[in-house]
Amino acid sequence: MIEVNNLQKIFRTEEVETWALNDVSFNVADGEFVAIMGPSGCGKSTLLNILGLLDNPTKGSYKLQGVEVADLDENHRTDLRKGVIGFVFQSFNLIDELNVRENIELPLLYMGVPAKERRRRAEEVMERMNISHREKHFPNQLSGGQQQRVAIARAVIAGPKLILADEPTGNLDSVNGQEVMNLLKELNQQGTTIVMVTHSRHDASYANRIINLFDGSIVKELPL
Amino acid sequence: MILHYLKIALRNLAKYKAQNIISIVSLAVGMTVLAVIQCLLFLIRKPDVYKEPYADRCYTISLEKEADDGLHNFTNYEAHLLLSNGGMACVDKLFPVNGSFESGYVNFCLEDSSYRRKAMDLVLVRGDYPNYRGLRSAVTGSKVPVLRKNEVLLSQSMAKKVYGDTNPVGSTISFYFQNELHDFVLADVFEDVPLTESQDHHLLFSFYDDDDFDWLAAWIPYCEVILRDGFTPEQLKSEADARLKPAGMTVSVKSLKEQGKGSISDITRIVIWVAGSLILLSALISFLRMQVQLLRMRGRELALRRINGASASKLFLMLLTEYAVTVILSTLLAVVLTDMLIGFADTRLAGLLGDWNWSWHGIYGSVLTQGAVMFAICAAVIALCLLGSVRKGYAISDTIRGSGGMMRKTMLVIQTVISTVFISGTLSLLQFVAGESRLNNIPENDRYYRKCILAQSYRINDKIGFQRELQGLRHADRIIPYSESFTELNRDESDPVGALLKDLRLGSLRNYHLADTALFDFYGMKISWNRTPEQGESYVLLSQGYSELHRKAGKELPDMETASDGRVLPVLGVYSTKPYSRLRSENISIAVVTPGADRTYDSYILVPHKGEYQALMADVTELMNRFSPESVELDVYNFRDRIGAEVTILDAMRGGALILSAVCLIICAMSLYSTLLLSIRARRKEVAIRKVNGARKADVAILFGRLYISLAVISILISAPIAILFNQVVVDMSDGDLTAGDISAWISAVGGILFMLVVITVTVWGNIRRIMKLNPVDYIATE
Repeated sequence: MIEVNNLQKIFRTEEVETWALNDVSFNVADGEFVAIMGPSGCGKSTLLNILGLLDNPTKGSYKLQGVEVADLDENHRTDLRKGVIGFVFQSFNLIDELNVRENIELPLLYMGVPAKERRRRAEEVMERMNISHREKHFPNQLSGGQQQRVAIARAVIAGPKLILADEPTGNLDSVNGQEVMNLLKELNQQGTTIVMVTHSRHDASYANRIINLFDGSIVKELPL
Repeated sequence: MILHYLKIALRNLAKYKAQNIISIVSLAVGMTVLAVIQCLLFLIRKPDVYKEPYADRCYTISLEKEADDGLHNFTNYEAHLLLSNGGMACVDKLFPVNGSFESGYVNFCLEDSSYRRKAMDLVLVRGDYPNYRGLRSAVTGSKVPVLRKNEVLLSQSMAKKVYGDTNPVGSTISFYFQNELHDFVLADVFEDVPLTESQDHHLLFSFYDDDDFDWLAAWIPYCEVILRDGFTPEQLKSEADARLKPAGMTVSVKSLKEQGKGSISDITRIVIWVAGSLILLSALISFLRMQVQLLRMRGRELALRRINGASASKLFLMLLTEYAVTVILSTLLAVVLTDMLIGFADTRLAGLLGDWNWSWHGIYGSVLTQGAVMFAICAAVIALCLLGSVRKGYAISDTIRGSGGMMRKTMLVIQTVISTVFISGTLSLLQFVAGESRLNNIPENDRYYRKCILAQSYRINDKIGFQRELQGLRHADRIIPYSESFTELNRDESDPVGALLKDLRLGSLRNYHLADTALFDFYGMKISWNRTPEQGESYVLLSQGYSELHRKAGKELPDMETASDGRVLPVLGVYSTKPYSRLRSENISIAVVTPGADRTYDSYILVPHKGEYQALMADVTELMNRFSPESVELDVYNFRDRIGAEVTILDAMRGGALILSAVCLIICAMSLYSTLLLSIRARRKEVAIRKVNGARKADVAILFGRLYISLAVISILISAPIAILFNQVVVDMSDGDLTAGDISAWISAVGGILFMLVVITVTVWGNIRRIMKLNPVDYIATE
């Protein structure tokens, strides 16, 4: 699924040059659940952004499903993301002006899926995530756990091969966090590849493999 | 607490710098436009001179009779004898109103025994008439006195030009009346009346004791009467009819007070005021929209303040302080802008606007009132927004999402409608100006004539010396002399041409006296020659209008024509229509060409060398000063301003329409821009999330553009009929000279709509391009 070789990401300003990633190389096979761990500022989120085609590396190779994507432009990256990659963020990142169903349907909207089909698939996913009863509510009317379930529903509705989760339980209490991790595990068991950034050892224990990052480099890889 | 509010207000102003600058400038411009329009409306009012107890009983009796020569439609003097002889039962007092004037040169004797001279309109009045009329003395502030025999009244502005700051009451003024030179005493100086009734050039003089007033000496188109108590205007008309109908006259009776309300009707005044306030309305809407949007974005801040103890009234005061700062800044800017504009206009209008500054009508009163009204409206809107949320306990953002969204959309529609109507109106006015320009024969190279000078030698005694020195001016490239005079026309109805002339009410034929055809070359006029003149031969050319008159009458053009000096000369051709001519007397004319004549002329057109207009104007002015030092106003003019006076009005109309329209469009565009900017700023995260989920530029364009396009469509549907209606008003303005074909409603309406659509599209697309450049990573970072 994912092949990363000698990835570098350097952030340059007038005064300083920051090496967020320094020669990172690893692979993720189809259906794997990989956790990326490390202290704050080690480059986890930067790596996730590159994997999610939200950013380009400064140097190195990134192949997604065998296709080199490291140097693609914005439009190509957008096209490639559609239907292939789903995102789950720590701060949910739902759109306040859209209700639950509309938030969930968002990826299908940009894939050109007709309204009827969108509605059907959204209902299916809401059922799965146990949030159908909140269909018409807005994000600020939901609890944290519910919001994250909506975010996960949005991430999976297009049937992506890969889900990237950036601290998915960071803003949740333990009960809701547990619920979210169980959902992710379930998705993984159904064949979805998951790459998750986390601080939590507990959350990382759901993964097949842990990659430890430190100062932009992989220091350890641990199979579980 | 107020300091805290001020601190927050200034921080918020700085935080949303672009939007606030746009708001402040837009509001200031709107207030300035309205203040200037108020000033103009103030100026074109008639003075309320009828403050007298009998004001409600003043009526005019207009008398019309076709005289034998068919020329005049005002009253014959016998009518006044009929009316005044023995008095009228309905009438307490009767005043003849002296409508027209003899023009003559007036000599003003100064304190040092020198004199100054000016051509003026000499208006014979009954001595008690100006006092009855309520003219106010500029010296005492009371009504002007009843004039005794041989006393005169002069306007304030003319007195200033002649005497400067000296009080001229008691000075001697002399002029010819009834072919004799008479001395008069200046009894008083009357206050200037507003713009459209300028009596700057009128000299009111009394020549008879009231009872001996010579009606024959005055030309009187109507009488003013004071209706006797207990009588009605209908009775007045009946009595006047009974006396005058047997003499073949028709009578109309009108209330003087109703006529005195203004040279424009109340409705027109209101329409002009409303049109002027639309720009301010547009700016205010923009400001309110932005404030409502900002309020939504500040929901969290306001909620936190409430949690920390702020009551609704304290929140209201805090927001009010912010609006007060904005309104105060825009008001101050408006005062400065209005002052500058009025000052500039004042210099062009010879100081007529000066007094307006300090009265309650003035800049400060007008702008401050507008500022206060705007502040009150802002306070009301914000109070409504806050009240809803406090009462219902909703978050402010929810309240505003619900009601504010509709409010914002409505305001955007209103703004777009205003701008579209303004642009359509401008297109109508531009078509009007183009049509009037055609009717006035304004040449295509009109700008060329702005760099030419006209000098007239009527008041100069040593015309030969003047002409000699004029011809020696080094800055002049060429000098074209000419004179004008008139020949009585034969209006014998048995002659077909005479009959046409009578229909046209033309009594005299204008003669242009020339030394050669240089005048035609100057104007770019073409001459169709019957034959070439021989060396030194004097001849006549006929105007195209005169030639067409003969053709219409079925007559051949004459071979010979009599000039005003009595010479009978051969007709050698026809010249095309002279530019800047609209009067029939200009279009129906002849040119008398006398090569090599040793004579002086009344008028000289001077064309300067390139870039030397100012230098030549200075030279001619100095020359004129030397040859007629006593003249109050020198007869040296910018050629185009003098000859094409109507063009100046059309220019002003064109310029005014374009400026107003541009201002409105800029305000609307800036408002759209600032709203979009704010909207984008508020929705960056949303756009980032959409981009992460697969949105491309077109998807974001649809997201933002959809709202604006639908609002634009609604605006178009509303503004199109308004634009078509306004177009008809403009057509009516031309008094039948132009038709709907000349001023097309479709061009105006469609043009305005297209213009607005382009503005909306460019503004929206520009902002979308900006937002598409944002990196989603910057907005969805892990906390």
